[in-house]
Amino acid sequence: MLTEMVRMLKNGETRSLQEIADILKTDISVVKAQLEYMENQGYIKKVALEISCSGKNCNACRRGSGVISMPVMWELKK
Amino acid sequence: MKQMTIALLGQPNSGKSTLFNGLTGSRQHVGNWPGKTVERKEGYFAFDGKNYTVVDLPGTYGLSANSEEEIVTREYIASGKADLVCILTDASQLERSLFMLADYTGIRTPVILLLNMMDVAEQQGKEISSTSIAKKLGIPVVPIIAADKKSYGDLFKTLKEPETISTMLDENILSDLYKRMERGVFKQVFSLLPEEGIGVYSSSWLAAKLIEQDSMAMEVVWDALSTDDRNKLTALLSQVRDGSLLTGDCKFKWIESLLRDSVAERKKGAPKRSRFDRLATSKTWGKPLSIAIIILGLVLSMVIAIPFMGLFSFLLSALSLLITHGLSDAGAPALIISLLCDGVLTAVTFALMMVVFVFGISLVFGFIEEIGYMARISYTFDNTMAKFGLQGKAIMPFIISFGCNIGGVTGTRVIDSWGQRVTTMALSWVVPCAATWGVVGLVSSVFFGSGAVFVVLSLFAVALLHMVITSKIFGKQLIKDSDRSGLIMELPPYHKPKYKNLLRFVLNRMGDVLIRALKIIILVSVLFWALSYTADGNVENSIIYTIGTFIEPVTLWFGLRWQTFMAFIASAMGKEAALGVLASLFNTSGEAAGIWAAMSGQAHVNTSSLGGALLTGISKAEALAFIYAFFFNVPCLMAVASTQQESHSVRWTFRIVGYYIVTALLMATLAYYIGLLIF
Ligand SMILES: Nc1nc2c(ncn2[C@@H]2O[C@H](COP(=O)(O)OP(=O)(O)OP(=O)(O)O)[C@@H](O)[C@H]2O)c(=O)[nH]1
Ligand SMILES: [Mg+2]
Repeated sequence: MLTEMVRMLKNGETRSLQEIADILKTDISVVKAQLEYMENQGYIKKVALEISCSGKNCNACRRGSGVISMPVMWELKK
Repeated sequence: MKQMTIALLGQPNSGKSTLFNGLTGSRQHVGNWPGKTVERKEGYFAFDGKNYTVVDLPGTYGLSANSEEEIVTREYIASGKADLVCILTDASQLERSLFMLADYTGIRTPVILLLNMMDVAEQQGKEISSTSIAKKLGIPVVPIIAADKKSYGDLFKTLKEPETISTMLDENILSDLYKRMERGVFKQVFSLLPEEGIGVYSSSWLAAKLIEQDSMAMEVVWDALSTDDRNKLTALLSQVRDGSLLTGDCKFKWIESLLRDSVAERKKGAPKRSRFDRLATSKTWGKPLSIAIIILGLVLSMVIAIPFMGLFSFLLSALSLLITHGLSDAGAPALIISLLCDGVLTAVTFALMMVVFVFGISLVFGFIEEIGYMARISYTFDNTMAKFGLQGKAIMPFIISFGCNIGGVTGTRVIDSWGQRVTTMALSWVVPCAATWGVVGLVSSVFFGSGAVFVVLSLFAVALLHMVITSKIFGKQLIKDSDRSGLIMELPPYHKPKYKNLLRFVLNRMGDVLIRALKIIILVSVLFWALSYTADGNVENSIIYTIGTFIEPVTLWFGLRWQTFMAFIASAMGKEAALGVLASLFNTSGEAAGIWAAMSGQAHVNTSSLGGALLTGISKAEALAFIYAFFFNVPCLMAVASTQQESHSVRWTFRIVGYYIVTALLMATLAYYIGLLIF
């Protein structure tokens, strides 16, 4: 399962947690736990989005507290 | 035994310290682990005639030894100093927090499993059968709420049982899973180790850790092996690829088997996947659906905005009349009145009108995001990014650019390859920011009324085409590595929008756009007002007119009058600036007439009908040309500066700027001639 996920990532495939859970015949919560493990082991990392613009009080690309909510994404760690 | 040591082991935030405090109260000793900066907490309590020492171990994900905390934990567990280990897990997320137990399995110190946070699990509608889990593990499993001392009863009862400290965790199920590992790696490693294990470790545990390339396990094993076996082991392990994935797989399978039939979830919190979501994430329908939703959003935002336009120009005319009369009665100089009414007041109205368009679009986008649909858009457009030769995550800067292109440019930091980054920046420029959208909405509504919707839709279609071509042109030189790494995306569940958040978001964005627009429009319109001012009142003697009429023969090729051409140039500094230029250059009946003629009754009428002034100046085809030139122009000076900063390349920044100016004028020309055919 874990090797299968790494294989998919190396292959350039983009999948949602739901898709992976369907493929591996398990639940999203299990997939998430496995992703956490792989992150911990240094195989993958979360895509971290950082934005900065000159305007200190600029809300154009942020909303209230946080940056516009992007989906959490994981990618292979090079 | 009158004295017993209990170690609390668990992942971060599993509640160790809470339980530690609950058990020991004020009888604590805090120090450091020898030679480490990690805090060591020991506490004491007495129960049923026994003295207990409790050790609060640092929270770690598992039992590998990578960080200082992990080494402390691992060494303590290996020392065998604890008579009993209590592993704390978060009952609300057992799939992940049982990993500690899986990693512990095979260590031969008595252990009990504490299912902490039972209150949270209950809230989630989870029913956990601790007896079922206990049967599979062969150790006591105790539900608890660490934060509530009244729930400690079961734990105390378990501590009293004599077999608690004599029974071992059953490792057979996990070892069997290990033994089925591909190419029999585990079996081979296992067969080299002493059958009875070493110290607290079973051979199965050691074999798994060896496969994970764990150096501490290697040290333990090394001394116990003959030279011959050492060589065999090294040879074996050197062939193992991704050992932690192999063992991790077994551990998670073990966790799944443990939880099977042990956890029942009342299906209230977990909504089934709706038909809508199947459609939204489907390979064929996902994209058309998101495009339809975006178009709907655009149309809706125009429908909301257009009525306000009329209202604002009515207010402007009333106010302008009032001010003119009031000031001229008070004997104010004509110059001041002209500046106020033609420059400042028009600028303010323009800024307000622009913001109305920002209102609609932010509302729609905010809503899409608030319900959790935005993440689906990123997901469905992933393969489109691939067609552009870009990583899937390049969608992020594009979405941010809808708010602000500067943010979009800096957002390209998510992309690791330089060539891909620069290409993404070049592409993101075409995404209309809030201000662009405001101006486009305003100008196209003035000229095309309800037909503006079609103008806007055509802009978006052409923008997509622009992106395709741009990606080809820039990608050819910049993107050499075609290797694309995949992504795993977590799509958040749909939820009811929080209207308060939505409103705050919309108002914030409107406020930002308004303030910026006011500053820029007023500044630019006053500047252009000054440039077109002449002492004798004849505009034909002004600098701007001289320059304008000089260049007009050329700008007309692109379907741009000299005024709209200047607005186009100004918009490269900041999109709002275009409105400033238009406000000052078009604010009179004839295009050549000076705005300082505002004292005459004629001028009052003209100032009031703002759109009218623009309309008399230019034809529809020319307006279309301007809108296209404007839309595809460089976003703003700040975006150019950030592009230079982020790409570290002046050359490529200039190339992108040049490319955008040329294509914008090309688009304008095309739009102009197509416009001539239509109108
Ligand atoms: N609802 C609920 N919250 C709890 C429970 N036990 C602990 N918490 C909370 O969970 C959080 C983490 O608890 P800690 O005791 O600090 O966790 P820890 O295991 O010591 O964490 P580290 O020291 O980082 O490893 C705290 O905010 C506690 O109040 C529980 O049974 N129910
Ligand atoms: Mg703690």
